[in-house]
Amino acid sequence: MAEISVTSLLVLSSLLRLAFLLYGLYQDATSVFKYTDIDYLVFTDAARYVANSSSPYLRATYRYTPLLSWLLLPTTFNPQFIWFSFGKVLFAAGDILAGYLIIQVLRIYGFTATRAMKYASLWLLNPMVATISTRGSSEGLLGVIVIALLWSVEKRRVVLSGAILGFAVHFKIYPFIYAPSILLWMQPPNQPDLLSKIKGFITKDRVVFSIVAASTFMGLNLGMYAIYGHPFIVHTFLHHLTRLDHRHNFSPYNTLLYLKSSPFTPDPLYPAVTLSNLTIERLAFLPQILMSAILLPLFARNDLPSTMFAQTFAFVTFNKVVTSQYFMWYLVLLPFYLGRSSLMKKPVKGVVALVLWVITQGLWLGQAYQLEFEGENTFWPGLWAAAAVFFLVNCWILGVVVGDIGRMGSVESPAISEKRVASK
Amino acid sequence: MKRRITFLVSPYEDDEAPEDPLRLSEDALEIKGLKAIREDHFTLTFDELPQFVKDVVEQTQKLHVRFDNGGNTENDWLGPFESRLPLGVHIFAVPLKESKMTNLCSFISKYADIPCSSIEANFISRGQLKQFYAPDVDVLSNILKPLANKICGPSKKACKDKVLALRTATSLDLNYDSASNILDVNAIWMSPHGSKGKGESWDLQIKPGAPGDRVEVGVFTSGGKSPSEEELSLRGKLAVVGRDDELKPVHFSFASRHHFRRGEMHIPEYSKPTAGLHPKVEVSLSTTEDPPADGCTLNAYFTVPQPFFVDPYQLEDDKLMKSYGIKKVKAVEGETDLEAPVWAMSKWGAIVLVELEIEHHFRIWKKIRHHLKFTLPFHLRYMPTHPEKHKDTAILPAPAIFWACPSEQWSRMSKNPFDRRMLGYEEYFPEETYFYHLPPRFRDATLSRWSLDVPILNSVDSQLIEWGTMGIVVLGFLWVFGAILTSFLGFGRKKVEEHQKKE
Repeated sequence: MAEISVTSLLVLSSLLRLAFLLYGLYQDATSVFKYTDIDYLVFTDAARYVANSSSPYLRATYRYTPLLSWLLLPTTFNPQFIWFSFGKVLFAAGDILAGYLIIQVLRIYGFTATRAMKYASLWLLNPMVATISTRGSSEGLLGVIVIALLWSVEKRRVVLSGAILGFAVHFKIYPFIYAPSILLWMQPPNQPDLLSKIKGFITKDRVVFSIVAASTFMGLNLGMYAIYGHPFIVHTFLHHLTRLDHRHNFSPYNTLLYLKSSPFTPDPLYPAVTLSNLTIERLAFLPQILMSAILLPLFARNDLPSTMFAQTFAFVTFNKVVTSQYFMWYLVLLPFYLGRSSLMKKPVKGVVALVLWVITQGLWLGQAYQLEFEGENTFWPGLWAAAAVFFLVNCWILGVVVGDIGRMGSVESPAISEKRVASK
Repeated sequence: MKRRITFLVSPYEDDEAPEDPLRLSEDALEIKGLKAIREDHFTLTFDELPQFVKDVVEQTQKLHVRFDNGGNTENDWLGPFESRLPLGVHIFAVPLKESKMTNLCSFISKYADIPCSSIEANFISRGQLKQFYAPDVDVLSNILKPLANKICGPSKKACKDKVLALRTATSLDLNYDSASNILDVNAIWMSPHGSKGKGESWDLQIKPGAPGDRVEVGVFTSGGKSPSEEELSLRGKLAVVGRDDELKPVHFSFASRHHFRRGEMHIPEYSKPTAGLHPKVEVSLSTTEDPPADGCTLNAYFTVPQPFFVDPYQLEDDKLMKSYGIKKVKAVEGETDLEAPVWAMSKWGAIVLVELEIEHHFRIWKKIRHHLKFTLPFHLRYMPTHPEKHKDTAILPAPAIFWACPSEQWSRMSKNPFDRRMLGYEEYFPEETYFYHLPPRFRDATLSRWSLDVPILNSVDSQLIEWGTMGIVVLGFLWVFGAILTSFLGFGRKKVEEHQKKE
């Protein structure tokens, strides 16, 4: 019975995506407002370069691993009206697979089939997710990679887990934050106190996982470097470290980045006032990394997927650039956390959180729209304040999430770990 | 030095000049009350050039410097002076061998006050050809003062006045070709004070400056119907001042590359409402009944200076372009980075050449006499912050809009005494092409350009922005950090409690 239901959920999600995909084709064919994402044109252009045996980095703003352009090679096949959409189908299929894996992992966590499907629907039947992947954004692929990582870790497939993590970091740097939490999670059962945990930290599983992850990551990088040379390093990695990011986005840093990257004209009334030497924009990675890769992983033993959700949420919230596609990164992990969250147990709190998140985002979008399309100067204080409020709301939610995960450890983890030991 | 002065009287001027405005004496030509367009054409051999000019041209195989003050919005007969360019300063240079043309670069930064660190950094490259452009109409007057001092020396006022007189020119061209080793200087005035000023007339006396100089003066008007579409016919009088005893009547025809059709013009405007950081320019064209000849295409050539830019990938979208009235994007060259702010750009911008969709327009023109319209989408880069301003001005010059038609007489066109080559767009057409230009007409502007306000971040609160951002981030961080601490401590406490319970 449950099997049939999972199948029908997956079929339903596929139909949803198919409908979006066909609608997109219709809109692209009839309207000048394109359904297809600009990035999809970047990927497919890059794939065309690859098909002509040249480098995908010849396409301006292609800032991804060459693997993505290889993966999209079929989009260059003929007839174009069929094959051009191959990437969208692939991304949507990635979505579905991610959703299927979400159900599987939730089942490992003791969710009933119905409940697992209910939470997986947050991803599978989410119109935003379906839209993003059928518009041709690759974020959905990342979702399936991250859930696959979670699944293989939970299944104790150490080598596979390392390989997936290495691949994920090569694909899109940020999953490196999962490395410390997975390592901490791989806790042998016979170490009751901190001292024994530290003494016995080096275990075979941890060593194998680290070596496989590092060598997969480096192996892919070396391979790509051997083929595409310097542009690969520049566009895939260095770009993200050196980019100016002065254009407006959700990040609380964005007004500051504009201010600090622009040449500064002193105010004639207060010529002595210049920009401070505070280089907080250069230190922005500190709170971000401290939070997402050092402090939050300490909760990994309480609940790994919820911890990964919190880490991703923190990474995105504290990032110097935040666009709405980044929200996909944590959305895929939301079903795991939400099932055990106080936001579900206390519906008022949950609704307040959701409403605040949506409203402050809308506030920012309103300011951005006025600037971008109506030419009104909303840089300061409007856009800045909207980004700041959105940031604070995110921090509040993150605080709630952290509190929940903290409690999970004390209440439920013994049961789960016993069950796991038993199932081993 | 050879000098040729041409006056061009419009054939449409109603008043039949009652009195002959020209009086030739033994050593001078006196002109009184002549309403005309004037062109001064100087021909200088390499040896006649001042050293600092020699230094510049020596490194170039070809060099064309063109100024246009944007005042030529006449849609009247301009005879051989029909060719048009977006207003501002245009430089086209082909280096001699592998030269980096460093002297050209230091020349423009020194005299025109245009920052130039190297040709490679600041000019856009079109193969061998290096192109520079600035939508600045004051460059000419700014550059002439220091140039006059340099050329004439400090004391020679007469010489300086002569150089400074170029300041009011509607357009000025400098053309150098290393093959002939000759520098041509061409200045055109639509009227004595440069701008439109109808009814103003020329009163002056023309004399050779030095004994060896040759000054040829011609006063022409349209010579009536020319033998073919591609030809222009002029009639009038001609004399070499100081040599000829009388003005000789002449009537001659020549094949011309640039033409005009009465009644054709274009009216550009920003699409309303002003589109923020993504402005679109909509251009209405008033055309006559049919294209000038079979096989003609209608084109628009834009020079797109910072902070404007076009997205070449957007322009590749054929369906979108078609909906904008553009049949084909023929060229996008120069700086098209899609993300960088103005201050990260070293090049001046880009050029865009598009072919317009005309078939549908002319098919229904006879039924509905509407304007032909097209739109080009632009985007704006972020501009530097400022403590006193909340917006900065972005200037986009009106495009050159023209018919390009297949020519039969192209091989004769270089014999045209007024021929003008290398304008930035003819290179995209075959040699066998001639042009009809559609002059711009602005609804409420005197110059053929738009200016648009771009919102910028006002930096007067820079301290507040810095500390505010830091405050917010610290606050958010501490909140989450507090939650983490509480969880750890709380978890620890509960564990202890559980322990105690068990005991």
